[in-house]
Amino acid sequence: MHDACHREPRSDEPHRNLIERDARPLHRIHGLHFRQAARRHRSDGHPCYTASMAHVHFTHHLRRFFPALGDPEPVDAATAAELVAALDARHPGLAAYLVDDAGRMRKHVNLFVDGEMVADRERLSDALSPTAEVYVIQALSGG
Amino acid sequence: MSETLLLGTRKGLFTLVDDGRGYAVTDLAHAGIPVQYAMRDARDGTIWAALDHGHWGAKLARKRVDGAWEEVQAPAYPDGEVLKTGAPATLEQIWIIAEGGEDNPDRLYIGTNPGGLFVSEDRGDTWELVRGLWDHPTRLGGMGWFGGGRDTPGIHSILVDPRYNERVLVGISCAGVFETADGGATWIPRNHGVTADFLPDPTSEVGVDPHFVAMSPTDPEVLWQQNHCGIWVSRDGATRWTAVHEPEGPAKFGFPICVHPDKPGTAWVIPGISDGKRMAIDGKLMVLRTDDFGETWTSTSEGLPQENAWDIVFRHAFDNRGERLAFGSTTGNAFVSTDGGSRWTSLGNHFPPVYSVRFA
Repeated sequence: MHDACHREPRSDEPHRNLIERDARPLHRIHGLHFRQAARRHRSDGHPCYTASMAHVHFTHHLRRFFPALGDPEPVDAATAAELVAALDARHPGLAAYLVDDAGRMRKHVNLFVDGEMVADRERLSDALSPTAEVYVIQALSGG
Repeated sequence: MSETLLLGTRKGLFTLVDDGRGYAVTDLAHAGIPVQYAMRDARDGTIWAALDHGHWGAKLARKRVDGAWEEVQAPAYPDGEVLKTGAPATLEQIWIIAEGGEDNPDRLYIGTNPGGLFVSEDRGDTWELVRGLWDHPTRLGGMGWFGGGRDTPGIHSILVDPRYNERVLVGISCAGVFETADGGATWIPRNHGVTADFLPDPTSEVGVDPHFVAMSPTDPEVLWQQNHCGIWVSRDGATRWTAVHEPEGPAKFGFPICVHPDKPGTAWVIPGISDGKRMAIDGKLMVLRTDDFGETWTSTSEGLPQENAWDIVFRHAFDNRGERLAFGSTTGNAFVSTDGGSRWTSLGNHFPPVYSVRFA
């Protein structure tokens, strides 16, 4: 086990204020279908890099707003929705960058799981293998 | 005493300060990110910015006095709320941020696409949908509210009566002006006299397209609107509107409108050719002023480009503080006048497209 496995979120995380202020349950912020995943991951404060976890690679554009993102970030999740909820539990506010109020994938954001684009952009029900490699990317757009 | 201007642009928020020797850019915040709207809350000095990330959604940021910028939770539509199409209602754009009045020092409003007005009673920490307006039967019933230039309707104007802060008027494209006198619980359309020549029924009470609505601070019964179809003024609290545009222009099509803080009959507009030709008339930039409630309009253009200028000025990109006026255009020009619009000075010609201009 590496020391990096137990890295605490950086204290200068710019979105930490969202944790203190927002008392609403997670599912209210990011869509109903995240409820179960939120329950499952709320106490998951110490991500650990193991072979049985999905690993999430982020576009560098997101690091401007969430500098504490792992590279990659290990996440224990069975579906794409669970993955987003788990990420949001660690990086409050992150889900709102990936999905809209109703929990749908934002129009110009893509999740690739093991090389395949997520099929269910409405509910993110796509299953993840225990060792899924997940890429969060943004569509290219002009100036 | 210095004067400060906030320019919300496609590439960030520019702060310009005039220390007596002219305006200079002193800060660029949120570089590279579209800033749809930015304003300073005069009550506590907080600067608010509506960010419109292309990829990551609409976000809300604030900078408290002597503090750093921080992102705060943007308004979210409640579960189960739908658009006229049946699709879920989700935050698409934060279009305007407004103070809630001196009597409610912690209250702020936000107008959004797809048509929701949100209120905060804790200086923006949390936001709640204003149900009375969202549930108004005209939103989904009949013709319903609809988008003007965007896919969904949006709230771009929020006017709080300084005498009685529970009276609020909003401007919605496309629906019209709505008024509450009970802090948002109940709303009534206020569009009598306004016409919409693009509708099957041009005199329909709801469905008109105010581009921007302004209230006289000294006489809040006087309201002005630059509309898609012309310019209207009301002198009875929006009960009845009177058309004051020139049928053949130039005082007809445009987006912003400013009203003088002390003279309710004085207003300024920046005209375009027409809705089909959203560009400056004859390649000449001009500002029109009336001092008689719109009976007559006078063109002022000294200091503004008079050839090959095709700028259009968006609804939030024109502001005034007394006789001091400033505007910015989608082609990155910005100008200021300190004499009521008689003479204009360039603030710069190479800004990104300007979305909002507000004196701070």
